[in-house]
Amino acid sequence: MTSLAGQEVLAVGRRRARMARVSPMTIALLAVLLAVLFIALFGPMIAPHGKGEVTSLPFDPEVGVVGTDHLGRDVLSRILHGGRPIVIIPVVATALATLIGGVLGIAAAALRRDDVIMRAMDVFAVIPSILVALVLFHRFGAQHWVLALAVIIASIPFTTRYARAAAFPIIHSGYVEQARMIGEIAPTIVVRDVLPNLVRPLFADAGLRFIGAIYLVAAAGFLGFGPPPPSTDWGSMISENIGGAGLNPWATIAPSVFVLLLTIPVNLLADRFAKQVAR
Amino acid sequence: MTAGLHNAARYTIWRMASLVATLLAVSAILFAAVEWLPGDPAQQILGIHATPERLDILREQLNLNDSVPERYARWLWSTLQGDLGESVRTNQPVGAIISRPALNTAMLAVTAFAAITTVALLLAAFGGRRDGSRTSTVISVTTLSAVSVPEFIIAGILISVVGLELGWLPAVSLVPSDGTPFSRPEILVLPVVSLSIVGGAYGARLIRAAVADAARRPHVQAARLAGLTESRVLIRHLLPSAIPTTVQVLAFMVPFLVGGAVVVERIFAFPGLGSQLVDRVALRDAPVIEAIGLIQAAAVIIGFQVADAVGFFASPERRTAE
Repeated sequence: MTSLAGQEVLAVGRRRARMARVSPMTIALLAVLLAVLFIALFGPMIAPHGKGEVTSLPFDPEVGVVGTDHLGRDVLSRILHGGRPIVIIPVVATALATLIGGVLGIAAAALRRDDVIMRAMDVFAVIPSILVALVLFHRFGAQHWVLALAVIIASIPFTTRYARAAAFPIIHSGYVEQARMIGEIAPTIVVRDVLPNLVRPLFADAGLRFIGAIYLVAAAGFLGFGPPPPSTDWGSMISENIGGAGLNPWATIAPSVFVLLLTIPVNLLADRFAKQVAR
Repeated sequence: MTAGLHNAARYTIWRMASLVATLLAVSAILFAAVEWLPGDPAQQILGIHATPERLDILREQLNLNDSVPERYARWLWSTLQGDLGESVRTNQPVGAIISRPALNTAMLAVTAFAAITTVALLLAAFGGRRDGSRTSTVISVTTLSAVSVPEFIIAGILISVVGLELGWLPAVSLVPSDGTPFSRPEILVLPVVSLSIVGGAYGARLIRAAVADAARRPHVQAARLAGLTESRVLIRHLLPSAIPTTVQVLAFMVPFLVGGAVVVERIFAFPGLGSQLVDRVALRDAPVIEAIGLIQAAAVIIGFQVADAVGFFASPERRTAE
């Protein structure tokens, strides 16, 4: 018995030590992400040119750092101006969608009659999210809150379904049954036994939903519902300039790189954090 | 045994009923959403210079003066009889407008689905059977990076490099007017690759997790200790345990391919259902929008129902639990 208890203490200690040690890779990813966030938030203040300012001929690769876009505007300046919407909207929308979906999913897994929630989710899951987004855009215009709303509506059914699937085996597992039998009340069980085990899958899911959110914001640009000109975002810049990829490929490549510098660190960090929590 | 059969029959009937109910609910929401689109259909057809009298006559013809529930009921009734109506813009039958785009999208989706399934299963099988091994880590990092790349970026890179720079494959996926995408298969390659990198990596990650979970279970370890070969362990124990997850993950691919491929369709100028939907929403062509929405929704519902049914019959614990 004592040796077992000793091992247990040791294991806890080791777990603490591992939690405290942050790998250089994690620091590097965080640094990249913070740099991109900084550029997105403060870019408009450091941009050498205005977002609508014409500096040269269209698709001129020689001017500025990465040349000009389809209207002869400085691509670098437009990247600095176009970060805010594609960062802020997906962050806010993903956080809200994960929160709402997580609560609904746990409720669905815990309730004996979960059909009401899941059938409602099934209905929303099968309505094409592009159609929902298109109707909202035509109705209200492609404003920031409309984009966020479209993302949330598109994400919740999937987050809920995923959270329910993840929560189901936990809630119906031996130790939750046991906790129930010794008389613990539902909120205690959810907070103490269910949530800690759900953080990992929900974080992994949120990482994916974030990519989906960026995708939807960028898709709006591709479908003609980008920010009103001369405003822009990185996704809209790709669709604006892909036609001139033969003349100035940097006008397409540069905004693509910025999207990737956002999405790849977010997903890798979410995955790392999720694994750390689970240990 | 008979109890099991009884259960299965009850389950199937229940599933069919819920399929129909879901489709009905979707149709009502679709109809309401299209109603909610801004603009007056009669005004849009006749233009801004139309006289009020002509507008009134057209409204009467289009039954626009009836209440929304009345018009929904009438639309639902004719749709159930297979009559999708006519475009309010061109007066062509809706079936004639959407049949070609639907076929194009189906061909793109089926090809991409096959590619995604193959990629996902192979990567999951090799990455999941020995969690923590070098192969497993490489696959994990690669797939995680791949799911982080939105498909329009992959499509953009493929168009500029493979399409324009190297000129190996067409950068634009125009379908021949007298044929199908399959009669010019080269136009499908870049769109399918764009969709499969994201979809395959996404599927691989989730299925890999299920395979890795199964690999940690006592009976799999016992099988390994008993000297079963790796491939036998994989086929007999690991992959079957991952079936419910796999079908669930593949079901998620249906909305991704049927409705969500619209940006890829747009980038490659592929004349699919998604592109058609975008154009018709801009025109406020209600009958066409509703038909496309219903088709996409039906495909997704069937995908999820099949996944649920496979998951239900593949896991004995749940079959007896419900």
